[in-house]
This record gives sequence, structure tokens and C-alpha cells, in this order.
Amino acid sequence: MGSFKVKLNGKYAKVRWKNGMRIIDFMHQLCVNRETHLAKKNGRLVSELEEVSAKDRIEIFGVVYGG
Amino acid sequence: MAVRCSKCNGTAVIYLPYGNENFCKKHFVDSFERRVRRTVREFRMIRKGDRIGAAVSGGKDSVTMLHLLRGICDSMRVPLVALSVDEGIEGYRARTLQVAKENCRKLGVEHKILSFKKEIGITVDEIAEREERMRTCSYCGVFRRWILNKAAREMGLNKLAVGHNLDDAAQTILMNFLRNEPFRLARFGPSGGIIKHEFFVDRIKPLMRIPERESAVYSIIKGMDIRFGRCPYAHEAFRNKVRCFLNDLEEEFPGTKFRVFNSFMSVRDVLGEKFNTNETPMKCKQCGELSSQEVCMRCRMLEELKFEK
Ligand SMILES: [Zn+2]
Ligand SMILES: [Zn+2]
Repeated sequence: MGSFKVKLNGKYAKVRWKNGMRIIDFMHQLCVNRETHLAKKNGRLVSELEEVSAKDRIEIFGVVYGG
Repeated sequence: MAVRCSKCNGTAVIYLPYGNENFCKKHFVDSFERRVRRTVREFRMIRKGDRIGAAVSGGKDSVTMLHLLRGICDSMRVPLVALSVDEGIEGYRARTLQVAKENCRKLGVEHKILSFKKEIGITVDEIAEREERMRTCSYCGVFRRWILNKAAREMGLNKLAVGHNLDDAAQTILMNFLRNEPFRLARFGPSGGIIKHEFFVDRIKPLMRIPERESAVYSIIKGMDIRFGRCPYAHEAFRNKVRCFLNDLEEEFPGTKFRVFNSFMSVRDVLGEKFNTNETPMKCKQCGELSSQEVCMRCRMLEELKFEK
């Protein structure tokens, strides 16, 4: 288990990472809902079921705001 | 390994948990547009001879709706005009209006911008200086609807399309249920109006079956240059709770929002019969617009604001 830096709404956040983890696993660790957030891997919009390898750049961003 | 599209094996851009499917750009766009067209057909939202206004705030839902309506209206030879309201919210509205303007220009849709200052005499920033947040939101909603209805009618439009999505619908249905508001619930729906009257422009909601996150994905794929921001005055505590509740449920039990909407649709006719107020709307004594009382909400609110000056 290593640690991984994810960009969450423009700011870096740390998550736990191990081989085979998917973006949705990061979302769960960060307590963000996939109904309100989308993800990009290496700058490309992807399904949250995408696996993350050690060198990937992951961005998670909110698209549904309260109020 | 990249996740593959369930239809063509291309790289997936979105996973739809309720259908357990991944879609590439092309297949997502195809499916999205097909669903919107189906909703428009199913509820007969647009007919030959209509003149459609689209309320475009510059957010993802309204701009997405405009892109789709453009194609639908063109194919039916129905005129389409976009209407935006400038509420006068410094540092927020200018940017979204720019997005609305730019997308109308790209699509070749006539665009009319109406302002609170001109139509009502006061901006939302000015209201906020003297009101609490929650009140500011209520004033804003009432004034915006009044402006849009009046402008649409004066421009000869008979329907006004709004960008309400499936999330908005499921929230509204649940909120009315939780608040025990059967009359309000009975008036809700994908098309039609709050009231039936030649003075009232019917509302249509082409995105009613589109989950909010999908409208965000569509707007990104289509390069609409949307910022996913929120109005600085946004304050709807109860709706926010219901939104979170529904999103949590949806994550655990995919398809929940569709089921809330479909359950409502299956009892809607019965609700309509039982909870019909049969109210005949009258014209407001002060502004001449439709109202359920002698003086409409907009005029009463304006009166309050003047009094509080
Ligand atoms: Zn595909
Ligand atoms: Zn009035």
C-alpha cells in the first residue's frame, strides 16, 4: 500500500494506493459521491471504474453543487 | 487497462451504474441525445406551430438543453429563441451570461438578455444588502419567473423550455412528499404549466430524464466551456439535504432517481384529479400578469422591498 496524490477540486489530496485500485476507490476514500463528481486520468475524462497505475495523473472534480 | 465501451470496445468516458454500462464519447452522446428526443416526443413537448423559448442561464443544464433543442426545433421547423436573465450578481452572472451568449452565437440562436434592474428596478446584489440569504433566493426566483413569463409571452412564444434534470425532478417530488404538499406535487411534471391560461407560457423540461452528472459529461464532451460554479446566494437548506440523501441512495442503489420519477409519473394523473385546486387565475391589479391573488407575488415582494428601504 503506497500513498498517491490526487487533485480534488483543484487542490492536492493524499489517498492510499495499491495495484488494481480504481478511481471509484479514491472517491470513496475522499468521501465524494460519483453522482456529484467526475474524474480525469492523464487529462482525459474517464469512467470511474478505470484502474490507476503508479504514474497516472488523477483529477476528481465536482459538477453538481448544492443550492 | 482502460475501461471499454459496452457497445464498441472504444475507451469509456462514463460509467452509467443504473444500466451497468460504460460508454465511449460517441455512444454516450448518441444515447443521451436519443433519450432527450424520446422525452420530448413522449410528452409532446414540441409540436408544429409552436414558438419555443429556452431559458438559458449559462449553466451546464440549460446550455446542454439549448444544443439539443436547436436540432429538434430545426428538424420540426419550429422557431427557437434563447432568453437569459441578468439578476445583477457581481462576479458570477457576467461569466455565465458570456457562456450563454457564446453558445447562442455558435448555434445561431437568437438571444435576448433581460435584466432585473430594467424589468424590476432592483438587482439581486441590492436585495441581498437588505435581506437574509434565504429571502434573497425567494425574491430572485419569483422575479426571474415573472420576467421570463412576461418576456416570452410578449415575444409571441407559447412554450418556455427549462433545463430541469432528473436530479431536480426527484428532489422536487420527494420534497413535496416530505412536506405534505399534495397540491404542489400534483402540479409538477415534465410539461404543462403551473396553471392553464392563455396568459401563462407553458413550461417544458426536455432534460427531465437526464441525471445531472450526465448533463455535465455532455457539456464537457461538446466543449461548452462551462464552469461548474454555484450562485453565491444559493441557499436551499432542505433541497440540499434531499439532494445528498438521493445521491447517497443512488450510489448504493443505482436507478433510485429514475424510480422516484417513474413512481410519481405512474400516479400523476390520479393526483391531478384529486388535488386540483380548480383555481381560476386572475390578472394582478398592479402589473397585469397572472396571479392567484389580487396582487401577484412579484408586486407584493416589490412592495415589501420598497417599504424596507
Ligand atoms: Zn462506443
Ligand atoms: Zn403583479
